[in-house]
Amino acid sequence: MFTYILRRVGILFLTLLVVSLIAFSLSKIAPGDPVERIIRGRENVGSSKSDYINYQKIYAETAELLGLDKPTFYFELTTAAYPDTLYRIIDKDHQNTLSKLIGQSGNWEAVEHYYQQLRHLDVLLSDLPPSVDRNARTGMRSDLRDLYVNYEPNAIMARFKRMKADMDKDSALTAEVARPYQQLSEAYAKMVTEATPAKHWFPKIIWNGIDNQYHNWFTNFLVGNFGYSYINGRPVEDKLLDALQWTLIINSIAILLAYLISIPLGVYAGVHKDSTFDKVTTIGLFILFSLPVFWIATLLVVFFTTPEYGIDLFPPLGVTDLPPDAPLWNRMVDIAWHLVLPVFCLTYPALALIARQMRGGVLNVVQLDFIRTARAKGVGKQQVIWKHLFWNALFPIITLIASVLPAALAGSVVIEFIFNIPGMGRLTIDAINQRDWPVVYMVLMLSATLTMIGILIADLLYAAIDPRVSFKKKVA
Amino acid sequence: MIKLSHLLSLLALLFVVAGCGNDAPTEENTTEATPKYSTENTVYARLPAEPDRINPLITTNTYSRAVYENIFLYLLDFDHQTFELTPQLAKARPEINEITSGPFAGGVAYTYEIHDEAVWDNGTPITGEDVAFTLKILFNPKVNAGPARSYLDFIRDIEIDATNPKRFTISTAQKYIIGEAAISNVPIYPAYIYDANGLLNDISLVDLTDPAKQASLETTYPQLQEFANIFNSDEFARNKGKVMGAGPYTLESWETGQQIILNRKKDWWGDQLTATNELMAARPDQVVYKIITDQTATVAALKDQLIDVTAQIDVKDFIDLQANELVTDNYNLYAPNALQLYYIGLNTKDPKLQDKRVRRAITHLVDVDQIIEELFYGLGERRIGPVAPSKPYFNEALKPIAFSVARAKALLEEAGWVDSNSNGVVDKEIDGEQVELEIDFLATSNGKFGNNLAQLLEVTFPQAGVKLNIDRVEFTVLYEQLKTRTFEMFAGAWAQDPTPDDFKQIWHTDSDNPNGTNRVGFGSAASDDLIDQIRVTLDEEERAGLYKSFQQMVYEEQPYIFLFAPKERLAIHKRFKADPSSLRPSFFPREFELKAD
Amino acid sequence: MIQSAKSPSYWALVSKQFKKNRIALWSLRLVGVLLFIAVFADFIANDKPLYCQIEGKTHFPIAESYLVDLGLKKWDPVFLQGGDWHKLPYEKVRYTLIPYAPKNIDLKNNDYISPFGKQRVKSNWFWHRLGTDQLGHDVASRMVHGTRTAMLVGVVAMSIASFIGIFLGGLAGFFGDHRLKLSRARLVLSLLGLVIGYFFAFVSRKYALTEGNFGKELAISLLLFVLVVLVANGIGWLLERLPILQKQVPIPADLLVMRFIEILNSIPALLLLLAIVATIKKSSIFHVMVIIGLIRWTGIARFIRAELLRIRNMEYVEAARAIGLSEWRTLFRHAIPNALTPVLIAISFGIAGSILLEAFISFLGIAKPDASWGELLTHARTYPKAWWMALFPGFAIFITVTLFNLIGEGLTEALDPKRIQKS
Repeated sequence: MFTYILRRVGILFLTLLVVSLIAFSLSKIAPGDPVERIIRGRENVGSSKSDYINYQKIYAETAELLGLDKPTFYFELTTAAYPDTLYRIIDKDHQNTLSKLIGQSGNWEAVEHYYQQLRHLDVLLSDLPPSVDRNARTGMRSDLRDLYVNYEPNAIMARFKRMKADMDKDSALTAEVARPYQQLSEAYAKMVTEATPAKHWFPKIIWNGIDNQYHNWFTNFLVGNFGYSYINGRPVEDKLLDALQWTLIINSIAILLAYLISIPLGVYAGVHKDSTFDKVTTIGLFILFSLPVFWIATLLVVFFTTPEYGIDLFPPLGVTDLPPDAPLWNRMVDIAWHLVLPVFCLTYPALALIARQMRGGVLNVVQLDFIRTARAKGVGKQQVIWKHLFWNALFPIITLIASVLPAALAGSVVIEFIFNIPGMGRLTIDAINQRDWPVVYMVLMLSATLTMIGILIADLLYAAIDPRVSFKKKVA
Repeated sequence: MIKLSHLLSLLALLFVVAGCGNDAPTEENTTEATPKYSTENTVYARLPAEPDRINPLITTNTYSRAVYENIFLYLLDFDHQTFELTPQLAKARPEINEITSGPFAGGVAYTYEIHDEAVWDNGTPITGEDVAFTLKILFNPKVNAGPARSYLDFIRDIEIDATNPKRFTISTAQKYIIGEAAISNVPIYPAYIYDANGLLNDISLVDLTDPAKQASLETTYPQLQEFANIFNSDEFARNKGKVMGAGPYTLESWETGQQIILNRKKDWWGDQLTATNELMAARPDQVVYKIITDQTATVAALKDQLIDVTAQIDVKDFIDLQANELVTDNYNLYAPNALQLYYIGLNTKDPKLQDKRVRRAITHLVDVDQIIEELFYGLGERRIGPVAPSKPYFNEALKPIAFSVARAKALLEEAGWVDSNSNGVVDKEIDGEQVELEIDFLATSNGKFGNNLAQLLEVTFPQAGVKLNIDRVEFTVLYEQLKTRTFEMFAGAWAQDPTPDDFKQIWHTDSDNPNGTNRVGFGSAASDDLIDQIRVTLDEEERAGLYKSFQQMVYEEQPYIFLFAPKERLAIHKRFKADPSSLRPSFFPREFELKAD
Repeated sequence: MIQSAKSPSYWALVSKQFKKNRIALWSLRLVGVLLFIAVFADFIANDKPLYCQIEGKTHFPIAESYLVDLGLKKWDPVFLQGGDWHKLPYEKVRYTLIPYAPKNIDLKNNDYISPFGKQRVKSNWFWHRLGTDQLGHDVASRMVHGTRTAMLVGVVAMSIASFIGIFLGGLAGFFGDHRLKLSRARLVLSLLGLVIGYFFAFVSRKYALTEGNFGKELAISLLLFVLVVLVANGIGWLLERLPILQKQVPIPADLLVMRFIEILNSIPALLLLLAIVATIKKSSIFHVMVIIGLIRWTGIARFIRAELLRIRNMEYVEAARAIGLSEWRTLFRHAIPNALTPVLIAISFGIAGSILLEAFISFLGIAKPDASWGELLTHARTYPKAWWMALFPGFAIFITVTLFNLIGEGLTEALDPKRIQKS
């Protein structure tokens, strides 16, 4: 048994590792730049200094703060065309543009040269003597800066054409920037003519060392340092704990209720197979099982929480109206009142599922020999049901336990969204929508852990109620 | 089975009984039915989203502002009705003098004096030192105050009067039309709470505002980082006792996703001033901000009288509420003008949209009145430019561009767009290529307004042979396309201010870069000059002339199709006497007066 | 227990059993109706007429629209005036049952008109039978086209899921941990081939894949991948002749697949789906279908594995081996086809689950198809007074899900060995 648990923990670790890789790569594939998101607030303000150079300084600082200036992973399989240190270009947009340009031309030296010329001309254009015609200058500069984020040949050529037209408009401007412009367009031309796309067919493995984003995050995770939310800078665990309490409350009530109601229901229906009761409950449970939760929840909110249709039975939203310092009893009652509908919506699908499983389990067991023997021996009916039938029919129910915890988490997404409950589900949806990756990582890792624990509990329970189950066999 | 049903009914009963026992038993309760709504002097206000943090200098969140305005005070604030700058912590508006000598020559000096009565909760007077402390936080490069800092980066120094510590002068580097408003709107922090260890005592503001000195301080003065670590922390953004200001309320508790409770201070120094200054009002004993993100839930909460006030009611819901006696019996519904502007942006660098005749033709194809009617149920005011008609410098000579398919067709033809291949879409040869006038409208996949707007345009555009494709993308992708200037058309909204307009951010060519907000590529040397001139012209009449020529310029170019300014939709419970305001968030719980009965 | 080889009569038995279950049978028929609606949605709800006469010429606009979309035909210019199909000067016209397309907006009847409310329509034929939404979309039309979305999701997602599930589940169940053996040379070169293939197909061609026509470039990349893997295997086959490299190494197929399933199942499908959708720049309903398929194959894999564990030692499989058929051939030609029937159970429940998942995703407003039941239901949440938006789409989801669940139930019963024996 001990070795079994050890093995399970090993698997848990393996799962966490894989899930962490999945979560991490999702966050890297996803569009959008967290750094930019965090500093975007600044664009609402009017100020002389909020120019491009200043922006880039703040960008670099923020990226460093978040550790996003490090390489992504331990190693990288790439082509010979890419340089080892592209990650040092901190601005994600520039990095992306350069990477695409390398993709086109395969000649990093030429691309790098082009990028340097681009920056050089940008600096020049920002600091020109007053004799230069400003219409020409501003036109040229805005097109030039577009080059930082544009990499399609057509888009680039269009910009070059417009820049040239602007430059030719004013002789003073031509005098100032004709050479660097010439160098820039030559650099671009060189990038195209001296393209070495063949380099893309040669593999290269870059070793980044252990100071990389994934390593830093995962090791921090293992020592319980879960990072900070991108949205409001709160520690992720704080956010999670705040949310977890509500999810735990509604789910534990719902699961408890579901088991309490469904087991007797299932056993009774199973024992009295084909009775009217059985038929009615079977159909009833089937309908419950198929009713989409989000539909029912929506209907309940629509019909039972506003006086609109005359049946204003429940408070409409959230978990409580009372302040935290209200008397404990009042607060508990108020919370209970708020949770009736959400708990109902979480309970009924689980109830239907478990009761149906239970009935099926009982039906299977009834036909087994030892039950027949027991009854033939004259053991009382009730006793047979509860002592023999019940325990033996429990197996499928235990299997369910393994899936109950993660299912509860997923179910909460629906319920919390509709009933406006600030639990894990809402947190998850919000985090995914807002690309708050530290929170998303944590939710995915947590749900994986919960599932694994669920499986462990189910297996241990199996062993507890049936000594015949041997762990060695089970694992094999 | 029977037992089970008993159990069930028992459970149900328990819930029902529990629900009834909801209210604390008082004498009134026993004699008559309790009113559904709260009778205490507590304002329950709805917040449509959770604030990020209650630390004014490091947040840009509107809802944070709504909350912290009860806790912190500014030197001056905008009067909620007249939008005039009105004293709060300061006794009066500042004396403004141009600096003629010294290191900041050419700049402007603002001299304020703080109320004599003003004290912190520990009894120490609020002085110029606290203002200096606040500005030092702001200019500490390690504090995440980027947005606020760039808004105030023309500040250079502060000098406190040697004889009267409540009197101080702030020197700035340049003239700026909204300089007074910007400086006056800085919330003042108590040093004894936020810097208990005096980490910032040894440096002066001028060290931080000078780029060179600042750079050297960053390495030689580790306390900057130390202070920033404390100041940026979660503790000072949400904990009771750590979030403190000179205002009448203190943060009592913050339950994530639920509510934020503010309690009124018992002996607040400003009590003596509340009678004469509405900005110092603090009538409710408690303000509870309920966080309700969901529209349906908000409406339900109104019907159940769980909240006293909410703004940002969905337009359709608002129209329904007006017809709902259940609500109108208990609430006053208001629709004041909101300081907002909806627009459609056109990429002026796009080959198809480069020609201003094409842009104007497209404007002719947008039936703005229909949009206001269908999407906002008439709760909007048509706009023809970036300046609100209520502003004194609004250019009245400009007339709305009417919805007219015929005009649009004529303009397109004038610009060379005709349907030469009779496929129903006009086309033109650009750079040797036959281009159809198909325009991609970028909309976020879950933005309701943008999507609905696009569907309305999808009906009117083909009438002039323009094809509209709705391109639904995820918001980060939309943002990316705006950045790379690969979009053609998108819808958006600007929040506007009661202060004189500063066009630099949206209209200046300096902002025409990937991260700038001049997304449509508007601007020329002439428009830049106008914008720069407006910023430094303090004489109102002279400025009005500049404003008008700028509006004329925008009108002719049509880089944006201006749609409308929506009306705010809010409900205030009748148990309170309160006025709505056009300023965000359009209601101010501090002003709410509980009616006598 | 059961007859040894599952001859065609097994199928007959199962289908006989299934037909005895009247509810399941009717469910199957009703699903047929839904499929019909899905396939012919354009001919049921459309703003274009089925048939019309205009300027003396006869047209079948709906049928023609298919040709136009395929680029085989151009519209008669008479149809290209302003885009409103209802306002053309027809001489004779016959509209579909619901004369609105899902994206038509009827501004005369917008702002949530109930089915029984006052509608301003030119004749009863144009009555919005299930009401309208805020902009004046016809709910009935959206319901009809929503059927198409739902069915498409069910079919596409489950096809992908079945493909993956049957393949991996088959490997796990048939070979177990010991029977899949490769020579050292083959093993090493296969792994190497995978890495190199990945490099050439996806790393070298990264730019082409992200910037070019994705479908075409992906096809090229996949072809390249297969080619490299084949070449590597070929070399392995040659090297096998060397005795040192000949030694057979067992591959624990079952362990690997089961572990994979366990890990995939450890993240709730909904969360995984949401997280993956968040990484797509332009998420469409097709992405959702594919992702659902990529996530939800585990149930199918488990079913087929369990079935194969039983079958692999049966006489007819042994017989196939005995006559010298290769393991792979035995697996695909004999073992899997006989194990497929139980998989139908997993598939029908899977379709129900996929439809539900899609409806919920649309309900959250994440992937916006042109018409989806879940998307319709969102309106009910934002505007509770529109009971028709709450009732009809929700009911449609409920019915569809129930039908597939009932079929699943029916199959489960029909495949129950005890029952088959009895008959």
